[in-house]
Amino acid sequence: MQPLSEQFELDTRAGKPAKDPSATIWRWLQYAMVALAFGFLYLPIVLLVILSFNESHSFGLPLKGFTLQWYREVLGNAAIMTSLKNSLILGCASAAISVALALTLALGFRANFPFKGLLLQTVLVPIVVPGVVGGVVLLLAFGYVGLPFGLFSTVLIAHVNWCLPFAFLTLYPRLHNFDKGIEEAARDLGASSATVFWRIILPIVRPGIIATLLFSFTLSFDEFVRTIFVIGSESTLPIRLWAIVTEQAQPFLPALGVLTMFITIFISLVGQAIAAKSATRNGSMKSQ
Amino acid sequence: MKSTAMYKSEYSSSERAAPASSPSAPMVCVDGVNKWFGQDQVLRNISVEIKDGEFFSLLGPSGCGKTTLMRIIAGFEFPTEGTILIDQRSVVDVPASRRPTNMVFQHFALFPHMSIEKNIAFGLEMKRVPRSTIATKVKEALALVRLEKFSGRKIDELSGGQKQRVAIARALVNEPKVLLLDEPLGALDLQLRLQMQGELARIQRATGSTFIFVTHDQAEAMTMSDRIAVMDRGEILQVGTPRDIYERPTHRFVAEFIGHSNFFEGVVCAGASINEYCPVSYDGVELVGRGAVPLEVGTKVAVMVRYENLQLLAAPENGRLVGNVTNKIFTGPTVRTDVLLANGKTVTSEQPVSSDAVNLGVGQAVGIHWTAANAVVLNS
Amino acid sequence: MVRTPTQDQLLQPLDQAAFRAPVKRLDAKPLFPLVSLLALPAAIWLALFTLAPLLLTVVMSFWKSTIFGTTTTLSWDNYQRFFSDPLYGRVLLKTLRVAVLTTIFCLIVSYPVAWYLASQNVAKKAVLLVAVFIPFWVSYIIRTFVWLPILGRTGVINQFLQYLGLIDAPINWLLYSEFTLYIGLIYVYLLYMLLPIFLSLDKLDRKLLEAASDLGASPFQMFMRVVLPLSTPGIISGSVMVFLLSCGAYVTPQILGGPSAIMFGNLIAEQFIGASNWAFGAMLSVIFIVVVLLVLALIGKKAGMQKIFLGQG
Repeated sequence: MQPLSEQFELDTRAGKPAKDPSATIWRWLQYAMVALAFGFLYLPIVLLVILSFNESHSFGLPLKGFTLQWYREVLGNAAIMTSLKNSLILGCASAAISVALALTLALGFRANFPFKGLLLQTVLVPIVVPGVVGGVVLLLAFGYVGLPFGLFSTVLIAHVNWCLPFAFLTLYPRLHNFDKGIEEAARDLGASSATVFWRIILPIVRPGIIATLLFSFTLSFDEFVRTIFVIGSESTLPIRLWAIVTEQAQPFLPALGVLTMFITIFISLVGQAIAAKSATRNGSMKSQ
Repeated sequence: MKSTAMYKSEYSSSERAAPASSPSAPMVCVDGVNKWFGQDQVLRNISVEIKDGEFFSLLGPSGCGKTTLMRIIAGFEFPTEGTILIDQRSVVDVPASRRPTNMVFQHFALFPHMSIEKNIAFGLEMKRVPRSTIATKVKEALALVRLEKFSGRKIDELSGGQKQRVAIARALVNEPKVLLLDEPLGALDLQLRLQMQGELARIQRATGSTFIFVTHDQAEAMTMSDRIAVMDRGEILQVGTPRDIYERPTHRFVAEFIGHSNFFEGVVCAGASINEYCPVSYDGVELVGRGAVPLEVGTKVAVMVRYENLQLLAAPENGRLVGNVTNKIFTGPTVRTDVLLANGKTVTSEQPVSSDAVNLGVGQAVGIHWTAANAVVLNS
Repeated sequence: MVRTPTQDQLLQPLDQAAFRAPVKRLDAKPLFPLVSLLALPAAIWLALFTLAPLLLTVVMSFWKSTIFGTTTTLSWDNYQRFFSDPLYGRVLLKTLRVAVLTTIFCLIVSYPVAWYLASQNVAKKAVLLVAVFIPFWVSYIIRTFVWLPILGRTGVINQFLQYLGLIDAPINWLLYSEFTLYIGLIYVYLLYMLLPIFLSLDKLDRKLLEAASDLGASPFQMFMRVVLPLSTPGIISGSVMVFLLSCGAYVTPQILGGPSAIMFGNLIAEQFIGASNWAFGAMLSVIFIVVVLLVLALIGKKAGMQKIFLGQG
């Protein structure tokens, strides 16, 4: 009895499945676009890093030599360092306040109450208001009321205004989708509402809160266009950068840019580490 | 189709061993509870008493209100009208956290950020039980659900059955007067479910607590319960022991929901009171069964005969009705035979393989017969 | 206490009382449950620092500011000036045009990248995601500024093209033109488009594509009929974000745009930084907000805005 493959003249050699030529074209097209996009993204960054070591007395090409003087100059520049310190402190303060407000708001939204819809629309207002106007509106208000302009009065308010909607938008889904069964189980076992919050809800949403804190920090750290309208005589880092950039392009600017990049990288990596640790500790709510 | 208000079977003798002490006062008393969600009425005039130490099941299809009723007893919902007494104290204004009840949730609801011990200890911590006592009690609870070897494990390392046992331990360690179980075995596969049914029955006997068990699985309710309340569309249709419900359903829905039955739609020939023999006219033939409710002449009724009570006779002339065998199935321990009657209705009989039914052939003419005491006449 | 029905009751029709509405509800919920009070701090903050300043701005738009100060008498002067002088309308329309085009370009550039990212395995995806984020961790002022030595006459591109011999003299229009504006805006806001689209595509179940392929769909059809519709929430969310950010652009036009590329944000800022036309600036702000809201409302009617913002899309 002949094997089937011989009877019917089947080609039983193992081989690759037939390739669809149009799919291949699509794939290479996609690779090309992605490569171009990454090139577009990184060209300025690479140039920035290169220029930060450029031994030239003016900003930009041509490349003249390798030096670390710009890093030294930036780190030794009192005005820049002060503004950096201000931005860091302001970032922490803005993040803390925004997240506290956003968290309580998201918790309050678990119940139904009148004007809830209106409140939700209002939270989104600072996003909808275009950048400059956001600052202008506060400038007018503070000017009218006579509030003195300062880092921890007017600027802090402007930053919290900007961070709050984003903080709320990241926290709200997490709290909204929180498994009600766990909450009921805690209450069934005798926990008061306060205990349910501190022992059950908070530990589970803590990774989300930390992520939101970091996100708000970066929003505040990078904020410029609203800040410029309400700042007094002090500066944040972006304000100082703007002053330098608009007065005269200084050769140490690339070094300063690279430094700010590393600060933000550091913060983000810290955030990732905390998030990873919390994930393994808490387990996943989805496993139920 | 008329439906009757709640009715207690006269045949309430329990076939299971009664709990050691049966005090006269009920542990849970629900009286006149109505619940509306918006315009939607989900519970209608619910009144039921649950005895101390009883394994009581709420049985019904999805949407019948059994879970809502349980949540009202637990305190997660409040009735729109009516009173609830637990251990003879009204709890209508007592929140869930202060009721002497504990609940086992369908999807376990274990705290993902705590270990097994911390989960189980939670209720004791809320009551401010001293640390050393907590440790002992947690150990006992783990032993009760046979999870001693799992201490120290994290929640997401457990299987479904193990998680369910942790949930049970977490509830029972607080020694609640009433344990509420909301379809706790629904998320488990068949083999595990059967095993857990045995476990739950054992635990209930060991602790002597009152268990209220919600399920849509009638086999589950029948095997585990002392008494069952069958619910449909917000009402309790019948409360009774498994045997009562099975042999003496008072309501067509109950008869259809539990077990397998044949129904003969007819009209009452002569009035009868509860449990009296009642003749019913069906297609010119007189059928007899026991009345489930008082019946008047002319009422439209259905005569219910369970598969195992429907006997097939090789001599057709000896039966009340005649028909031809159309199908024969061996299920293993039984043989299930379908018979087509002259009027087009198909009835089914299920008899042990050891009986004569196994000798009937497809196409053979047979007679239909049953003992009148085994048939129930229900409102149609 | 439990009522056992009598024989007569069993024969009665269904209890009519069961079909009524409840007389007095034991489960009535308070209008403001205790939990909702938690929303109060944020509500107060928003009222004080978001709504009140906005209202003041609207009122102020009807005042008049001169170098001698601001008079509080109400008048339509500012608005009349806006509609009579074509400059303002032109800049406003141009700003909207730039914002829309920036959004479209961002979409075109980021979609393939988002798709590529979403198709990778978990490890590669994480690395690539970080790689995409890193450029955005540089302050956006510097990110805008760094295009000067790239697009300038002695910049990287001109030097490169001259080196290759493709051109003889440096190209002028690379810098300080509308082209530069687009490059700058797209570069600065790309992530805001890429991230939502990536998240949408990442959620896509690969099995859907397998099913479509099994049913005979070509890659193109799979994209148009499965991938694109399911990534729409991400597209809309990203587009709204980039549109809003581009409308409010101030730094990029100022640094890269040159005199011809002024946008409405710069125009408004001028009223406060250069001159002291506070009331006029207030009016411009009000008009800007209204126009932007109108555009959003038009899009919002087609998409479910609230759901997308809240991440349920």
